[in-house]
Amino acid sequence: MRPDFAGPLCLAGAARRGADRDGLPGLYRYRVFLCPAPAPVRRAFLDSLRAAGIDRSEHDLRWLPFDGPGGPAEGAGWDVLLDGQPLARFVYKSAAAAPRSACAEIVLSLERLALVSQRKRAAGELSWAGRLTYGDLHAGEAE
Amino acid sequence: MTARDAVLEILSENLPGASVRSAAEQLKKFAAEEFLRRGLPCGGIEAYGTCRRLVLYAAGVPAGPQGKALAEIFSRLLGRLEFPGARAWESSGFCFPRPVRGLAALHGERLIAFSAAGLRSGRVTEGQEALGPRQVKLASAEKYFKTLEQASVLVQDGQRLEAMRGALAAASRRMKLSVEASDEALGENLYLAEYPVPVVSGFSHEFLALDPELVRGAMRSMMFFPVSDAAGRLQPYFAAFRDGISKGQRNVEDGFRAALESRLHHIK
Repeated sequence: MRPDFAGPLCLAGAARRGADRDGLPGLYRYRVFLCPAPAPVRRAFLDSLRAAGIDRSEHDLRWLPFDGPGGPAEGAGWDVLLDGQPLARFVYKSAAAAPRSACAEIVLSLERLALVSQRKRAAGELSWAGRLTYGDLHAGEAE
Repeated sequence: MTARDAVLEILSENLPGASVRSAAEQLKKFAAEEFLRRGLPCGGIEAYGTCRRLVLYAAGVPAGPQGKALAEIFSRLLGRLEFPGARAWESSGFCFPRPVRGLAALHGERLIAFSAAGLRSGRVTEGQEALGPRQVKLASAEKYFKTLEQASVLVQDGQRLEAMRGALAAASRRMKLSVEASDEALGENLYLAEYPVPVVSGFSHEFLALDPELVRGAMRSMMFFPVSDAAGRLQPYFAAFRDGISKGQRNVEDGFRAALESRLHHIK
């Protein structure tokens, strides 16, 4: 039976497992690690959102800065919120070999990205492959 | 000799609000010291900050062979800025909370040429990021604020604060309710958007059964503004700001609402 993915922009089922790990919703991540980070890395990230079907002018992107536990030297980055909800975590990390440059790690919630680019209200409705939906795939895992 | 204004802009990736505030204070203080030290008169010094830029504006700097002095002052100023735990991002060793992406420096129409943070100063900057990557050419120091405003960036903190107050007051009038715009909440929002655009949305009535202070606390933690009636009773609405443009308001309203309701569900 299909689980009940009710509510607006619902990430039911998938939301629980991811939430504690990196503050992002969903089960699936897209992780990019660039070392050393090229100067236009942030621009590349924004361009990749557009390529994924997110029109910046139609949505709000909020960059909430945070520093690592030992200050920016250990990790400096942002929680990136799309329309107020966590989409990605973008962190610059130190490279031991090159203390004056930084590596960039970008972790993105694929469910969140797919919800917006497929214009769906609930994760269960996301098209996974052909007629198979995310809801079919994760049946029984919903709260 | 006629006096012209001078401007220095440091464009960076999004900075923490506390860093912006501290950097603007330091810029103003150090600039006054450096102008004095070189015996370079000027009509007044102000510093401003947004989430993406720090700006020093010196009014009435005499024209003449001042370009070199200004270049020295600007590069010295950058070297003096201090941030707790800031780090170097490139080989010059210049420390900043986040990577610096541009330097613009003008005295009147003249470029003040210097290098810092692995960059050379120029006469171009970027406008509102939500409008896409767009370079903005600065014709003169005096036109700096106007040019940036046309590119949907309100550089001056005071002007941005007034715009936010005005927008929330207008929202209150429209709803015939009162948006709770405390100075603290406004101050937090001040370094979130370069061109604050108001968003008004609501949340499900069921959460009104919760302790109103908990609901207010949840909203404040998300930098949203609670809405109350004349008697101070919490209403199922809130106001917030987004950056830059008012296209796709419905997406943003729905998204903010879902984010808040998910937070309230955890409280319940």
